[in-house]
Amino acid sequence: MHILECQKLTKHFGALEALSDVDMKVRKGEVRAVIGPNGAGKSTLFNAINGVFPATRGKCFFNGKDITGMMMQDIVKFGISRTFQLTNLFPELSVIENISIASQAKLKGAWLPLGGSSVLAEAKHKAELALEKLKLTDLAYLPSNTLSHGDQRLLEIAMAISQDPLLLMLDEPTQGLSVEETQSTVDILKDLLSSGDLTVILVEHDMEVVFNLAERISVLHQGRIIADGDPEEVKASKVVQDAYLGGFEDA
Amino acid sequence: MLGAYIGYTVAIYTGSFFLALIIAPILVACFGIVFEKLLLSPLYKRQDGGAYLMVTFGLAVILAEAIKLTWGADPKGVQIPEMLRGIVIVFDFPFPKYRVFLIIIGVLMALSAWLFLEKTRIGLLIRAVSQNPQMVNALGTNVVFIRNLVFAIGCGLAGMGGVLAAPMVTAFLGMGSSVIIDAFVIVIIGGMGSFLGSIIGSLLVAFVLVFGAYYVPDLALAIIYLLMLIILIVRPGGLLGKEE
Repeated sequence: MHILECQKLTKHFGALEALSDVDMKVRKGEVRAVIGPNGAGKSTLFNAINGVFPATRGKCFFNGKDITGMMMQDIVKFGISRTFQLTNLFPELSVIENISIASQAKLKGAWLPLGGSSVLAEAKHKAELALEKLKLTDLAYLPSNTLSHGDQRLLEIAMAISQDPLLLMLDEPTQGLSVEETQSTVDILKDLLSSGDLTVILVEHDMEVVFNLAERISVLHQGRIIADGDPEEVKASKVVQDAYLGGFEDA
Repeated sequence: MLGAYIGYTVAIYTGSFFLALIIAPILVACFGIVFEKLLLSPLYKRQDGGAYLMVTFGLAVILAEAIKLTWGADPKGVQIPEMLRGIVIVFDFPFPKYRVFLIIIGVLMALSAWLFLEKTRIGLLIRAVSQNPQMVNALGTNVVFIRNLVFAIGCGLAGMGGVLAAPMVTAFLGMGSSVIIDAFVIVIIGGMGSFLGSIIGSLLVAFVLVFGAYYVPDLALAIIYLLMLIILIVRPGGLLGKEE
């Protein structure tokens, strides 16, 4: 059963076709990497799936439900959570408050000021669990802008995880990290994925990270999927080498 | 101002000041929601602060005229309720009971606003929206709803202020603008976006106003602006605000 299915997803920005007829099927529990050179449309694909902007054409189904054109805030409630390429936090709030904002979103009701405090307690509890998974517990009460870049990126993952998503979309989780930070992020992600329930779509430039985590790889090039398969197939693919990997090694 | 007039009307009809204190803020908040939905929300996309200023200022003018047509141009006195008349002795000084009541209400409101912002889910969301609204939205919360709510609460509190002020200064046309300048100075002094800053700012402005008027009456009108000037020179972001 496919948890996510995109059919001919297309996005135009004026005359530019950033995504062209992208078909993608992701199985439940799969770890999928989306790779491609800069400007290939990776972030656009993420944004079109999770409702940052509507796709120009095409459809997206999540768990069999049509989520095309839905708003971000509603898509979260279906079970898709994501992180962003650029760090995107609430700088003056504490780490645990940052996560609580994420974890409260799916909790129901209690919009009343007084009822809200019990919801907040539940949100905090979920936040603590996520902190534990990401090994950030010691930092819980620091303002998020005092964290190192690496910890801030982990915090973003913690925020997404705290929503108990079915599908987690990570947009370059190791971008800007040192070698050691990248390694520890990969270790933490592997830990998270060990249960096998969570489906992940990952945009990543670091090929080592990709081959370390991904079970399947989709290669985007100029808005089109040019290859799709397991890591060995993709590595061996002539099209991919021409379009991407070859150029990458030269650089 | 609207709060004061509605409060006056409710107090006249029901004979209860306290009922006015509850009903007027709710009505003003409802009015605020309608105003926000109809006139302000179309402006959110424009990212243009000037547009808000013009629309709200325009509304203030219309509101003042509407009040004049409805209630007439002469000031409307509101009776201080029976139990708050008279004086109490505070540290050997006679003190009007109603002023003590106002001080208590002020402290209570400040305290509950703080608790609301710090300890509730909506409070957390309000603080988050003020820092990064797009992210709040991306995390699955309806930001428009939060904005509406904050606006309604603000209007409600303003309405309450109007009712509370009415017995002391009567409800009169222009009472709004007399408050708004002081409020502006307080926020600037305390620092934009700082809750504690605006409390400190309001106390500072109040003391400077009262003692300034007593000791240097010639400067009475200018004195809070001098205070603002000095603070902005020393701390351009206000007392607890951040420099932009």
